[in-house]
Amino acid sequence: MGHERVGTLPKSKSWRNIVGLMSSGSVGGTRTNDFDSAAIASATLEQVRHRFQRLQQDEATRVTFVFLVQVAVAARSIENDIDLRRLTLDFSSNITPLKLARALQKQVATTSDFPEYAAIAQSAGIDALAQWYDTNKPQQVGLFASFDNSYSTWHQVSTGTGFCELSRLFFANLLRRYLNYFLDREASRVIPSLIERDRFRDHMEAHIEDVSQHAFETSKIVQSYSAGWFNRYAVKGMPSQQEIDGFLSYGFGKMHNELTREPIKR
Amino acid sequence: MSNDFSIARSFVACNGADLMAHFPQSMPNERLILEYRDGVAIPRNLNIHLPKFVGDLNYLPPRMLDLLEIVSYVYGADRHTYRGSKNDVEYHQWSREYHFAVRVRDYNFWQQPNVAEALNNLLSFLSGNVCFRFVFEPGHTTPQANLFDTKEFALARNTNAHVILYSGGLDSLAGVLEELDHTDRDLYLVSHRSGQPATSKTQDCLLEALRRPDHTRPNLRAAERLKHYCFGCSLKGERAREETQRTRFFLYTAIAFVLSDLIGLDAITVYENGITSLNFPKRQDLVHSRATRTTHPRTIAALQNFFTMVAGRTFRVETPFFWYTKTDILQSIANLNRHDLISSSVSCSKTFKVGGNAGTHCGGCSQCVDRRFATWAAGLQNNVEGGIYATDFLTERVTDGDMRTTIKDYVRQAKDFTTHSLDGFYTNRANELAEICEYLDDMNEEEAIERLWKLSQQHGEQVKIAVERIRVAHDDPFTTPKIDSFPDMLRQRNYLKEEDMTEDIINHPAVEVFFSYSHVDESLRDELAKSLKLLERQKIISRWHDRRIGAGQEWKGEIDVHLNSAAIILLLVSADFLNSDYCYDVEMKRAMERHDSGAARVIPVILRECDWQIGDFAKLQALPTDGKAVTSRHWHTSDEAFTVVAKGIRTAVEEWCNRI
Repeated sequence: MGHERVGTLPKSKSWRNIVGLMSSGSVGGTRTNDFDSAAIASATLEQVRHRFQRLQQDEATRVTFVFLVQVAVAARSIENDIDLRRLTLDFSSNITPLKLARALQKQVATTSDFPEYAAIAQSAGIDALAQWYDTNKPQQVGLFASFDNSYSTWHQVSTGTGFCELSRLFFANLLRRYLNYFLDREASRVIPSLIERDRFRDHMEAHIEDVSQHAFETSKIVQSYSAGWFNRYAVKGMPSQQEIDGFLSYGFGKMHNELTREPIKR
Repeated sequence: MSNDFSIARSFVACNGADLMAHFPQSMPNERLILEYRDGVAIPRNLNIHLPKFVGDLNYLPPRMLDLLEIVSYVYGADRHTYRGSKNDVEYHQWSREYHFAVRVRDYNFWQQPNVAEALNNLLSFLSGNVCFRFVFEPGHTTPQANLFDTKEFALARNTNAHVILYSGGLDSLAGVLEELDHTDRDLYLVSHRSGQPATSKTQDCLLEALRRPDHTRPNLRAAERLKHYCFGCSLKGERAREETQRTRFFLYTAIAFVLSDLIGLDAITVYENGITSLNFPKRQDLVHSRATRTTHPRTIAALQNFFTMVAGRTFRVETPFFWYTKTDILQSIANLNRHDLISSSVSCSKTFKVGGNAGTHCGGCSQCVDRRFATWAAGLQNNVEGGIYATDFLTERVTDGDMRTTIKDYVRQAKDFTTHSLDGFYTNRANELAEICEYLDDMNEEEAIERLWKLSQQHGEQVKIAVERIRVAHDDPFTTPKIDSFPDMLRQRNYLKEEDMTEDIINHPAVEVFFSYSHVDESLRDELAKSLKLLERQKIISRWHDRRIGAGQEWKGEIDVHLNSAAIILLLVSADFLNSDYCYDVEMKRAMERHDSGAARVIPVILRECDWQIGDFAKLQALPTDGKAVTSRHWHTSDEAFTVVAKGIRTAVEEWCNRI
């Protein structure tokens, strides 16, 4: 009981170069320079370029994103006429992030592609919902709010702006989790001190946050694209499969470009 | 599609079932025939010591014999099929599809679709595989185990008993000790024997020690009450291709269930602490049971569901230590004054790699690391540490990369637990919490999450204490720690401290202080803050945090994060403080929990006259002297009273530092 299988990265030169980026700059446990999180993220994504495409096209990724759209559509009105039975969601009762998480887990469990991708996509979707709720709930209201508070909070996700932020969080968390899927295996092995290890995590998270913010907010094109997309395709019901795929392709492409181009200036 | 991107399938025939008839679509390299019986056409490749086990019990009903065979075949197949390399780019080989065809005795029962579905739900989650599909065929028989293998000779019913899983680890040891001490029941201990001599030896030696008369407790009758039943199952003739054996817990619990059912009980008991049961992933790649979920609430619920079907009546799997941490487990053993047994228990999952006189524990697997920090947190390091670890990460260089990962990520996760507010815990762990809360009976979502948060905080605080103790014990200003030892990992010091990372560790770091008070007492709080300013300048206390609870703000919100990190907690007591539901019920309660666990010291500062002596904190040493309120006539001025308070706090801080 309590066993953990400790993974490592492959021994190939290209992977070792990435590991080298994580450990470089450390002399006797003290860092002489900051982690180059942009270079590490970019090199890792380049190393798994084709795999990352598979993740984007994985059934569980699509199911998770569709779920987020369904939440946004369902939250538009308590008396909406969307068939939510499949979602097992009912916004006329108090909806907590955990209830949504459970509903998403049930949907992802029906997918049959690759369990590794399903775990990452599902976690990213739940992260997005929990973080979105935490940020948008009224101050002084705990997570276990009354129905009125809960509904008024979720209702905000049904606007173009609300949906844009929810989808940004999804893409950012998916990227963070996918990168960590690789980097977590070696970071504690090669970064000597505990403080540096935490700092590495903080740097990577800050970088991905910057990238996603840049892709979705600084870039007015994506912001207006996602809000416009939502307002156009999700006003009266769920967008079609083709429209969903189009949005996913656009969002992933934008994030990928941001991550692999020149470092973000903070 | 490359192998890296395909899900492995295994079609397994058991007890001579016709594989091709059931799975004509299977490919030759996907077929596996498992056999434990002698005298059949297929050579034996699995050891299932069913006749011996039946011999110990005299008789088992056909359905129970079927069950023991099924769980053994599942375990055998699990060990037989490789789950991929640890350094694969992505771990697509980890999750496999299993299709079993099993010939059974009680076909009418096993062929029910809901039984196969219950098996699938249980095993898929427990092991992190894609699915376990079962088809059954009738006609299986085995010879009588011996002359007494008939119903009338079956083991006698004994409802004044408990059936307990017994691995020889710390948690099961603590469970047995508590049961011996607190009940008069007979204890039927159950073990799986996989052919590892070290494990068998550990269990036997520990049991022998448990059975020895305890002169301080002459009425225990341990030798008479403790019975041990073992069931052997292992691959035969070849080394296991897969070491992780995630289905072993099913085998373990099934043995206990069969015995429990036979003697007329409706439950089995699994002693495992909650932190290990929840096993929150410490790294992103630890999904799909790569961090075990043997006693996860969902596993326990699935086991209960399945065993209820097999027994034909409600059957429970009890986990009494679910709200304990590993440190709590050690403290419970210490409270029973049985420190002497701790070193004889074995927590290590890599005992097979520890040879000769190197020690009984590898020292670096997740179980060893958890045990080590818990020992220090419980203050038992001088009693039980001696030489049991092959690698001592406190004094030796850790050359093994897996070990470095395990140690660092264990401490980092514990630190994260201490810094998360309730909201932060919920937001960061929503994915895992959704899977847990659904299976915690008798608790709504809110209660469940708050309790889980407190458990994780308690664990984090205990690890924090362990790290502080280790740091102080190994911090010699005239020597440098060995590179890659744990003290070396703590360099750039004060890990787990919130601020001032450059502070010299030779001196004690400044202690963090927290105020809890009612808004009505704000001016008095300011007076107290002035009195403490000198202690802050002298870096005796680092800074303070307070929580201003305003009128009408009695919402049940987030507990201030600093309440969970401060070493000294000051309760500024007045009638308004006592009347505030938030101050009294939430913050004071949490403060007292931390005080009782040794994670903080709580000091009531009596500001105004009130009936504080009947409060929960009345047992604590209050300030000013004799709890005379600051505003009472006992003091000439409030300055005089606050000076006494400041001196008292200085003394408390010094005691706190010396204690660490």
